[in-house]
Amino acid sequence: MIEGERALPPGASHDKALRVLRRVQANFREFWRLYSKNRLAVVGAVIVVGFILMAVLAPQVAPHDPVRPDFLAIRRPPGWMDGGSWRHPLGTDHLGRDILSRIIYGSRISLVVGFIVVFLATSVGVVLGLVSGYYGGNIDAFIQRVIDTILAFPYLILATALVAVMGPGIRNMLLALVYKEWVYPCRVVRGDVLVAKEREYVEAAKAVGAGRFHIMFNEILPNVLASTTVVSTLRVAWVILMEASLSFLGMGVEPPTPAWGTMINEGRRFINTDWWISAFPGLAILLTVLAINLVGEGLRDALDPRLRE
Amino acid sequence: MQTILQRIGQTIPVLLGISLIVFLLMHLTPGDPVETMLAGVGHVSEADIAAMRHELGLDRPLVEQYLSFLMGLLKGDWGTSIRSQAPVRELIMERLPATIELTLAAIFVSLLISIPAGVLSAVRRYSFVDKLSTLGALVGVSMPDFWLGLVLILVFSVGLGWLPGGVRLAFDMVAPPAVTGFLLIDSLLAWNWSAFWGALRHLALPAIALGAPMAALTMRVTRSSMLEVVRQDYITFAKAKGLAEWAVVGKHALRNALIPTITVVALNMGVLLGGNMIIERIFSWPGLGQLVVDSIRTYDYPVVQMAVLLYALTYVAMNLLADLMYIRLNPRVRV
Repeated sequence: MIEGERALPPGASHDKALRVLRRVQANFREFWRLYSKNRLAVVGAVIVVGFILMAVLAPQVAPHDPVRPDFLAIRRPPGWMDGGSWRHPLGTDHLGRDILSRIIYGSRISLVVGFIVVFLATSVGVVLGLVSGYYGGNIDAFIQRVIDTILAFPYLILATALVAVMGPGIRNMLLALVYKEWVYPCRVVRGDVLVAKEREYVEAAKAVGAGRFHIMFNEILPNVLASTTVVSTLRVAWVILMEASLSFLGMGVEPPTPAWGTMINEGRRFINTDWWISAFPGLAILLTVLAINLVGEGLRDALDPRLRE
Repeated sequence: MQTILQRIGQTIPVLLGISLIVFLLMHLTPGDPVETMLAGVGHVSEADIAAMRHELGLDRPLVEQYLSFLMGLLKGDWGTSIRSQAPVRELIMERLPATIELTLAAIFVSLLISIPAGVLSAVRRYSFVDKLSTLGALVGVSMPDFWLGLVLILVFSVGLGWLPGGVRLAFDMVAPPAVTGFLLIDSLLAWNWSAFWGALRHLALPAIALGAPMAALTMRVTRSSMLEVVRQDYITFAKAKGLAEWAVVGKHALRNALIPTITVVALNMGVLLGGNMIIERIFSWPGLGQLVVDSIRTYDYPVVQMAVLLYALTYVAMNLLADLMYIRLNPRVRV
């Protein structure tokens, strides 16, 4: 038991915990009722969970070592084609590495980059968005012009230029993407704060003498979290596409670590004959990004009725 | 008028910010940019490095360097490529027409897909066609463009043999004399129909690959703005007059629903400009995007700097244009 709760009558904290739990349960049930109305969003959620499990359990589920070449099995077609074998269900690449295993391990890069970049960018973006929207004036003008400037650089071009000067590798790629990505949640939060600022609950908090930080983080923040969650989810899909593009251009993780974009690039030379080397990693990207987009749309319907069409 | 001036005024700090970021890109390099640049050259003495630092002005204070960089930009001096020793301006100008041709073709393709699809799904709301195009748009934004490019090559070039899967013109075909650099225009100027047809066929697949994600973005906008317009009084009135449905949709509704669609194309210019790098690489398209990727590979920073600057300026110009168009066409914002 926590120190301060001893003063309460016995059982009180237990009751309180139970009440909170019930409320969470009720909220979740209500959320799920709205979310599951959109059947495609449920399918999307299942696929996303599947990919996350695949990434976590990669060493257990991958049939082969993703980086070890096998020069006796170079560019084997998928199992169902002539000359293919079910030892390599999706075939092998130009070094005889198992494509299925590389796709399974590659999901780690895509998901980790997608979620970490968006998490970091959202953290920065939310704080700056709150400050920008709440304080207004010169601070707001400055932050907004910085955002305009960053927005002026096409996404992929800024990211490649940054990776080019910072050097390749996963850490630099993450940073390059965060530098560009934070502006999107920031814009959304600022817009929401401008609306929330005029609401009664903020007026009420001011009237009882609440400080700026209390109002920003305790009153306004919880009310802008719904739309931020929706936007962030959709951004994960975009960031995964950008990571794949960077890897495709050779600016992402360094070989032989398997990333989906790198795999597609490596298979490009053999597209005339051995299409499977590029085709399957591309399908993996499409499926992941599509599933995350579906989840994002489902969340929008469930969490933020205003955003609905 | 005041809104317009205000909007133009907002771009000035942005332009300064862009130039500052582009300038700093070169100074962000961990370590000495000169050493990085000379890393691939082989034997380099300390004196060579010092000479190059001096030549590039890197031994001067940062503020001074930035100011001379700005002055150079204004005077049209874009620097010299480290790799080829050619003026950056020449290198970029040589590549620019190919990229502009491809980008315009991609915009054309995207409108060709998105407008009919958007209109049809608005007019037949909740129908099978509507659901299909909604799903198509979702797949479109979820698909990596480079993979779409490869699939197009695989199907239409390797498999069916219908369309060429790379470069601007077949190697055995004599290119028309370069007047504008735009192959389609140049071949028309030379009355060379076979070159025109060849260039058009070579343009098809990369334009589709670049335009498809844009089509997915614009389709939804066409649909929702059509839905909004269709509900307006004058459409009901036109229908009540007894005009045929296609006439109402085509003449009255579409014209007003197109404004947001075109605005969205302009606002999403970044998707096309970024996509250029990828698509040009896949289709061996000799444009600006390939130049950027090659220059990044070889640490040819002066070229990268200018190309990135050009991309950003294009983006700002397109956005400004879209906003001004919006202000002009929408009297409500003008107040």
